[in-house]
Amino acid sequence: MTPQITTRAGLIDALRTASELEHQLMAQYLFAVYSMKRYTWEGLEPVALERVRRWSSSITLIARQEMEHLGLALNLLSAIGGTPSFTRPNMPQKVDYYGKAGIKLELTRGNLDTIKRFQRFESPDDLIAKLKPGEPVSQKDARKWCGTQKHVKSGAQMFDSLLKGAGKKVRGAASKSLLTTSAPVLGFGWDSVQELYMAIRSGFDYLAATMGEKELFVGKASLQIFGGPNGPQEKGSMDDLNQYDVDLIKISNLASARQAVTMILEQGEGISVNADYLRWTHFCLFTGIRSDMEQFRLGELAARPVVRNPMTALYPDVERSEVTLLTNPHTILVSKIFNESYELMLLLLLYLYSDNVKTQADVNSLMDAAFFPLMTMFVRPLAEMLTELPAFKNPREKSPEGMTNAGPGFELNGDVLLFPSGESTWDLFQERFDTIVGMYAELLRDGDPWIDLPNQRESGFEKSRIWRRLEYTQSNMQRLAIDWRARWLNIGITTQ
Amino acid sequence: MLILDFEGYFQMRMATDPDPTDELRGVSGYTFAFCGEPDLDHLLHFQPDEPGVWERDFGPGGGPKVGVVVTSAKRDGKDVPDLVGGRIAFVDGMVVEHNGLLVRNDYFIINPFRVTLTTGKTLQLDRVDYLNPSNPDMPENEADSTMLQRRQATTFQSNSEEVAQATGLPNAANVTLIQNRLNRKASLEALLASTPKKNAVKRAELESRIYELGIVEQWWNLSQGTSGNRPIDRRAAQLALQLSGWNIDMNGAIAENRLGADERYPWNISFWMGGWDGDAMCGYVRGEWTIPLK
Repeated sequence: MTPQITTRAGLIDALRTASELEHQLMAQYLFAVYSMKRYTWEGLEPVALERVRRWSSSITLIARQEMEHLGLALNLLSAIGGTPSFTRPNMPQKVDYYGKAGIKLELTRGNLDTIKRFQRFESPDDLIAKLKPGEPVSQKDARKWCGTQKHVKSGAQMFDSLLKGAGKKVRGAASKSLLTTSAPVLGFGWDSVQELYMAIRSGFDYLAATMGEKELFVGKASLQIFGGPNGPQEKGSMDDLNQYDVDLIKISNLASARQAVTMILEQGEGISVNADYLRWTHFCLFTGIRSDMEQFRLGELAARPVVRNPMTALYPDVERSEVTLLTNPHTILVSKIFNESYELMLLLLLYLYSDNVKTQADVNSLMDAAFFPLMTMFVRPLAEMLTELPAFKNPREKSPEGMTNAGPGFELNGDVLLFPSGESTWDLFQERFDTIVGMYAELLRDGDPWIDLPNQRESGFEKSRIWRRLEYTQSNMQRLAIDWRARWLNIGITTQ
Repeated sequence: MLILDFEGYFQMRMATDPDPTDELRGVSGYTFAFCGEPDLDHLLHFQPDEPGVWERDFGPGGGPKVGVVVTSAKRDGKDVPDLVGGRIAFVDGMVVEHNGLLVRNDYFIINPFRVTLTTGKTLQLDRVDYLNPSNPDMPENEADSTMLQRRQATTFQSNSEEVAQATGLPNAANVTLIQNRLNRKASLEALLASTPKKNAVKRAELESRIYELGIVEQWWNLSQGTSGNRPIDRRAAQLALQLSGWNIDMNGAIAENRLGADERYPWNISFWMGGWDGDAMCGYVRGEWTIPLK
């Protein structure tokens, strides 16, 4: 069989496409899960709310594993001399943005239609081969797949059989991408995510065979992020991401590259996993959520009334007719703080993948700033709060779908690029932290605008729940800025 | 010198990584406020009658019971039996790290830090420790490294036999820890079977707990081991994880002193915490409070 990717440049392009795609999936999953109801006063009785909590836990798990897939794609990229990137288009995009793969990029609340869309994203090729773009997977077929498939092949066996069975199709698709797409990152020559990764894996095989592994894997392992027992972090340390439902491995040779690609497909589509792992695959988790939503008629009740694709501005790269522009001034400011925090997190991660980070202590500092505080203490709480805030200045205004609440737009104003000078990077990050601190001060300067919103008053407190949570995140951002300025020397002991 | 040895189970209904530290219900970690339960309060509760304690049912296999008590009391080397059984509390204490902002790698501080001893209905001792004695109201996010390190734990020990002995585990081996979780799971399954269908809230709570207890290995870790033989998950491993080294010379205001303590000097307290049972949201504490006498 003729491999479809035959050059390092082609493999780099495919991996950049893969990393962009994983990033987009993650943002969509996070948007949906942050919109889901959390509290009894949101109109669900306790058992229904517990179901929604379970779905939220599953979707955040899937989103973390998309972060893992993004990390693996970047490690693969770095391992062969490519430049990791977090650049991606804003959402929404047309359904054919990723060609025949039919991956509609948009930010929608966690309702049944959204879950069906996610289920299709993660579907094995067999179940979507005959579907039109955007058409949901047959739930009957999905349940059969998740309930009865016996996937006991090894990763290598799986790829051999898949490539033999679909070799002609894969070759054709890859040829199209290489010959007809002038800007490969924006093109998508594969019919599915599964097909993309199969092409990547066979590309690694081909290049390793033709140029040799030593020549192919020229990237420094120190520029990758990975964890586990062989990782660079202290055992049990919070820096070891592998304890949080992800498995980030170092890529240094063909075997580890093949393993990474296999893991991505096993966790997502589940096309080779053992039967006892099948229930954990993204496809089967979404299939289960869809079943529950349909059975318990929670498809429209599980999520807050969050508008589609909420944005603070119209960007040139979006499908404008599908954007919901936010008009509530306080919500816009919260949204801007969210976007700044999100972009700062990406910049920090990009810096981590660069040669500018010289020591393990610096790596740990960046991990502490990028992964934990920014993701868990800012990006997520701000996103959750946004889905409780009014999208519009006029409290009676609704979107065409009847929705009233905002949400996190994951807005990027152009490329996410590394600062050009290693020497000034730390100070430039400091400016970013200080800017966010200033935005918080502006937001919380003039009294509590949310106290009269539903369910914001709590006995014993003068301020709304939203205000108090914003104050908490503000205090933490102030601390983060101080920590950064002190180069993490002003915190407690970190090792024994 | 008055030396009080204390130990027992505490409860701390808190969210776990990677949930944010102010999470009220639990989403992405492994601890949750399940249906029918109040929001997580993140507070350390050493006594079962404290507001906010929510002791779950464990079924026929049983489980931890909250209560930290004095196990030995000596005044200048002589036993003080009246104080044995006295109740220790870390009043309104929270285990704090702000997901790495204040304290990295889970070498937690406890803040606020106020310790009391009560016998019967009588409060005997009550003292607070300040991060910054010259500014007792200083927000914890303003603490510098010296203030933090004074309050931090220092040492993690996995598979601690001391913890296993304290909590009644046969030993601290991973296989034992995993079996403990599976035993709890079986116990809850029995409880679920006897719970009437009309009690839908209780059943939903039990179903969710059973699901969590079924996760004893890092099933997602496809690069390590094989199914049934992957690294142990934190839900099981933390049953014998010990965090020790808290050793604090309490420096703050004394609100009660019925035992003749010398108020001119710090009162030292040292302790370890461990044996975290995520299903019960309980852990074990053992320590010593050393109080100078007049």
